[in-house]
Amino acid sequence: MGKHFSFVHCADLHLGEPFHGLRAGDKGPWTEAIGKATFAAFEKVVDIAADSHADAILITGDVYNSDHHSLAAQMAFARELYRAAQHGIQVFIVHGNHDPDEAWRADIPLPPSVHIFSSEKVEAVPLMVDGELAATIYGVSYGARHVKDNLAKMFQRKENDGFAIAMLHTDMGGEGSPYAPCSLDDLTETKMDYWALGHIHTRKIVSESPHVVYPGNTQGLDLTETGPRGCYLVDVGAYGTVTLKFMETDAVRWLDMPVDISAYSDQEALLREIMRQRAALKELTGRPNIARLILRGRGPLHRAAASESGREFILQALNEKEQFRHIFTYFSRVEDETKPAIDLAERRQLPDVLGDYLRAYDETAELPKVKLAEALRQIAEEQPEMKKMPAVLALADDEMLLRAFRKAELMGAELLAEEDADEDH
Amino acid sequence: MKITDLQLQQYGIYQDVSWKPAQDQLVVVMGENESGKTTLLNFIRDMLFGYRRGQWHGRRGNMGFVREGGETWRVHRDEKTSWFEDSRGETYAEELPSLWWHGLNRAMYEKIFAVGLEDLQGAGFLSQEDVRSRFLMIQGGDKLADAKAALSGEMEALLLPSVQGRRKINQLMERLKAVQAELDGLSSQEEIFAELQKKQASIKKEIAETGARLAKEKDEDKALEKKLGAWKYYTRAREIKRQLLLSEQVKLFPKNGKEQWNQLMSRMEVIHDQREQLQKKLDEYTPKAKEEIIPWADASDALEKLYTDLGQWSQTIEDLDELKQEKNAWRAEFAHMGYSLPLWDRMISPDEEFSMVNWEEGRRLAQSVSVRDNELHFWEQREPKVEEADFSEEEAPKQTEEEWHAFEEKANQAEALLHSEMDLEEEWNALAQKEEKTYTLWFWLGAAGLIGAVGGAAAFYMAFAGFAALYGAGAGAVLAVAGFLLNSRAAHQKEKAMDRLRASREALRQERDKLAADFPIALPEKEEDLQVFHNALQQKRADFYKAQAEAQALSWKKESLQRQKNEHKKWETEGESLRAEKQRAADGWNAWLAKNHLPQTGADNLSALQEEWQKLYAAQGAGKILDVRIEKAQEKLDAFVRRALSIIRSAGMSVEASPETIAEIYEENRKRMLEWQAISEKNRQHDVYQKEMDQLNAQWDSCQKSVTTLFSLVNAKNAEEFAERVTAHEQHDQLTKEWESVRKDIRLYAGSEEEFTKLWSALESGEYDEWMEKHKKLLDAIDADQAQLGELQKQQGAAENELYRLAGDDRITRALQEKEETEADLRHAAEEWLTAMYAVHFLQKAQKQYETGRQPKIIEKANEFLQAMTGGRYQLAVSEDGKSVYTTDRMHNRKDARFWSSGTGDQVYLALRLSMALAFGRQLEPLPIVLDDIFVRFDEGRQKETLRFLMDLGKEQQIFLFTCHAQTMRLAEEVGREKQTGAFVRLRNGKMSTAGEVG
Repeated sequence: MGKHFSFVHCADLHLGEPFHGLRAGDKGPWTEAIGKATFAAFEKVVDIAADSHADAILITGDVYNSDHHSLAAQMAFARELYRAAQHGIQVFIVHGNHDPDEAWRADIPLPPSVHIFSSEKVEAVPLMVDGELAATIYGVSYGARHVKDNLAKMFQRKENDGFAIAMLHTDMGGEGSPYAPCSLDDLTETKMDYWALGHIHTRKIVSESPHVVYPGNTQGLDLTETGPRGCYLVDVGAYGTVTLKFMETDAVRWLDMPVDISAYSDQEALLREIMRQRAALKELTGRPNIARLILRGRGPLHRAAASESGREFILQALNEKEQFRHIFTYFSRVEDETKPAIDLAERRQLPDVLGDYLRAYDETAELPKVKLAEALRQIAEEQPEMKKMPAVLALADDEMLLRAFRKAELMGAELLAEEDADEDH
Repeated sequence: MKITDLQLQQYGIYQDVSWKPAQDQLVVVMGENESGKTTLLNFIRDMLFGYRRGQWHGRRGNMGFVREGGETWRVHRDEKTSWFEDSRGETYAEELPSLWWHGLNRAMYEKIFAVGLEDLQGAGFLSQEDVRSRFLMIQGGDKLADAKAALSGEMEALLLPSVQGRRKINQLMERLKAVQAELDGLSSQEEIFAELQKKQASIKKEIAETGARLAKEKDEDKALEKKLGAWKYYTRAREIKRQLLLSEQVKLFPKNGKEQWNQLMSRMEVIHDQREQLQKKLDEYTPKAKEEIIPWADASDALEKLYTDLGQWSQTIEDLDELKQEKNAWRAEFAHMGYSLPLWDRMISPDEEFSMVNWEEGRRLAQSVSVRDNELHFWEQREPKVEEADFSEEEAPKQTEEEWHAFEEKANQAEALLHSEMDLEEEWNALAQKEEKTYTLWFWLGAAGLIGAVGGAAAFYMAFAGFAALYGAGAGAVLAVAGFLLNSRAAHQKEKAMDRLRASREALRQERDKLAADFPIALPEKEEDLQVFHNALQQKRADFYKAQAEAQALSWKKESLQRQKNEHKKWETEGESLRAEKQRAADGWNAWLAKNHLPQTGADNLSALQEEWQKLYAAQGAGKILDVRIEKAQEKLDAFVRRALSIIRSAGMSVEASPETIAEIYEENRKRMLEWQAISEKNRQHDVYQKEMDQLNAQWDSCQKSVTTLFSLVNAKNAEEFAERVTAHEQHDQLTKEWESVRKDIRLYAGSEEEFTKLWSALESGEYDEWMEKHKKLLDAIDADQAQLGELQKQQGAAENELYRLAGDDRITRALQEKEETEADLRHAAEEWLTAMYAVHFLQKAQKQYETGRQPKIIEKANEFLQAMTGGRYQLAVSEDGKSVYTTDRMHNRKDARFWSSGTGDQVYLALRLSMALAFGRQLEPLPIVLDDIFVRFDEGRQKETLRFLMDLGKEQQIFLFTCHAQTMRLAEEVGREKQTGAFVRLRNGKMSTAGEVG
């Protein structure tokens, strides 16, 4: 019979990491909240550990982004670790790709209750609870930003370990990945009881026997990281039964709000509907939100949705109203997925300029994806503007080029079809 | 698709009207305004594409049509309900045309298949460049350009490809750069923090070290302070001990020793004071020697004497000046004296020396000169005479006797020659008169011989005779030759004789000329000249003899003259010697004059010379006396100066020696003498003081001796020792008590006996100075360490503050967020730009395709139509750039749009529109073409031509031609009849009446 104990498993704190994909210049309560969100999330992790009298906190990598050399992040981290130490909570850390061993430059002293695993070899550290061995914690850090070795293979539990926990920052299943790739089999073979993983930002319980767990990040960082974010409070019973409880820690939540425009004939009505939904959102999440508005469907508001200025207007109208709210829902972007009035498929068949345009477009669009990206880049590179300012093009990845290309189809078609619009219909 | 029938159940002014338009002929519909023409046009479109928004009310109708494949359809539009029905009676609720024709809507249909009056704007329309280019883009080509322009504008609004560009992307790039720069700055924070931490640790360590050192130093100092505190007791003890030792050294001391000592001391004090006062007086004045006051004291007597002689000296100077002036006057007088002496008559230098002259010798020499002069005078009186004679005539050459004989001989010869010549003359004349004979007998004999010879020869050849003839001929020839030779000789005989005579005469003439050459008289050439010649000869002979007599008389006269000349020569020789004598005497005189520096003068002037010389000599003597007097006065003056100079030198001065300076020195001397009298008084006083001093010194020495005696009694070396010992001796008991008391105090200070022993022995080591020094050093060290500690604590505070500040600095978090947002904006803008760029790219591609594909085909067809419409007058072509069309006529003249007439423009436009409609229809499905009043600007001929063309086209393609002009209708009917085709309908108030179908 072992010792009953509990711990908090979190990863990818990304302290001080800015939020991605936000528009510049929109100042509001979110400005402050966004700046503090990652720190607040980690504070919450420590709060959770303290409130639930956890014995340890396990942090599996990416505490902060070393590229930013953010002292504030390192300070905040140390501060929280001292707070944990005050509560008698031991902390175990492995470094990940964003904060490899070599990257901690501020040399901030950490409390002795913190153990950072070496990047040289897998270490085993006993977790003592009330003077008894509760578990043995294994772990290895990233020495550098990229680790192509399968670090999982270095782990092997021993007989008298008690409950064996392994900590690793890994891109599990990502074969050939530069982030210590491994397979589930590699993990199960080590006979560990609990694999505390990090790196993937969306939480996932990969396996329950043994437990292979990605807790996801503690705070969503961009509009793809929607929904609740947090950590796992893990309770290990005397007989090794593991109970996982997800605890929300995100200070600001990212989410998508899809709205069908077809029902609205004017912008005012549309805005009213969006604001109604927004009010409900706050009730739902109970915290500030950053939302992406996705406009869908076919309708008279398509024009507004499709134009940059139209989307800009919607955003401003929505965010203006949120300026003075403590718990806000800030709209970071409007995505236009509305359908145009013209039937592009039909118009391809017509022997007019629009048909010519769409056929010319199709000649390129029919290329396989990789070649298409190449062709698009080449077209862009040939533009005199890009020759003069290659830095602008350097910002564009293939995805952006493809997105621009796809949007170009409709943009050109709509301009050409403007006069054809049958006003009577 | 073709319309088979129209059922206008309820549509505008139409009520239950049914119409079956023709499908294979041009349908011409004529209706005046308000007749329902436009309504009918709209009905067709409404049937095809549905009623316009909100305009369905009260409208009903259906339309039958057949599609390209022969499928028949009917569309019903009953107000809001509409449906399609196929030939099998199946109905479809959806808008089928949109499905069939890929979303073709009403607007597009009208643009492609309907041509109205509003479209036709004549040539003017096409001559406007922008309109033309839009139009010629044909069917949407202009849209491409518009769309491109709009998108390019959007792109430009986002990005200007220049460093100065201030567009969205440019600005974002700038901002990103700025944020990145800020981040670069902030990223060093973590390293600074680490550094600060290290610094803080090291400061902490230093503070600890300094604190420990400080404590140690303080302890050490405390111990030292104890020793130093005890020291003042100890020194007291030591002093008492020393005095006790001193008192022990005093064995015998007289009772009144102290009094003696005191008396001595007070006595010595008095002496000392007196000596000091005296010394002060002595020091106040230093005696001076007389020489210091009057440096020239030695020369005082000399000065006194010279001072009394000063009057004499001044007189001497005045005398000398006077003498010198006298001398100068003499010199001037003497110099001018020469002019008053006639023999000198010159300026005489006063320095010239006139020595004594031997006048006796002068007199002798003067006499000798006088004698010689007389002798010479008498000799001159005795000069002998010589006659004057001229022998020049006699000098002419004389003919000698021999010459005269030779002359005579030559005259004879000349006469002989004349005679010979006269003989030869006579002979010549005789010969000249003799006859001349040319043909002598000999001639004739020769001639006969010749004839004979000829005859002989002839006979021979004519065979008269034989050889005899020949011989005879020969003889005749010889005879002939001899005869001629002889004849010739006889004929030349006279000639030869005359030649001989001529030669002789010539020889004689030459001989005579030779004689005449050196003969003084002309020779006779003829007999008549002979008499003259003889007379001349006689004259010559008489002259010769007269000359012989004159020569004899001349020789006698020459002899007498020679004798006189010899006499004169002898006289001359005597004169020479006399003159030499006289010269010698004169030279002697002159030499004497020169020797005595006397002026040159004759010997006869001797006495005058002597007299003048006497005057000069006397004057010079007076000058010399003056010189002697000057010399004496000078000597006297020099003596005074020498005396003065010796005084000046001894006074050490450098002034000129003159009576004035001596008087000054004398005055000075007098003053100094007065001064000296005062000083010598002081010197005397000083000597008195000095003597007093000597006495005091002697008294002092005697006291000193007494003191030494007292010292020796108590074994002291000096007064202090003496006093100490005497005092110690007197206070011995008291001292012993004090000694004990001090020891007791120290013991109490030490605290314990043990500490006392330790302290006492430490005190006895006597390292007070060392302790003091160490104590001072320790105090310094303590101060320094305390200062350092303060400084370190300050640094620690500063480092802590900085760490605290850095820890709380969230600028980096904000900057990162800003960078992220700027990048997001930038990506967004770039994406927008790229989107527009790709759209432009494909628009360009589409344009290219259109220009190379469809456009040429449309133009080709339009050309066909135009030719057909104009009866082949015009052809249509497109310009190289594809942006304009032009026509060419039959003469191949090119005509651009702006030169077209309005009718031609409309025709071209119509041709293009029909071509486009057909092209579109071919690819999709041909739809009925509607032409509405397109002939407005056509003249009759052009209307007819176009109608003819439309009639032909109408056979294939359903065409509705609407017009409101009766004239057009009439022309259409006319052409219809001509072409045997066409359907004609008239509209009036919503009623249709078929005018007739020609086909």
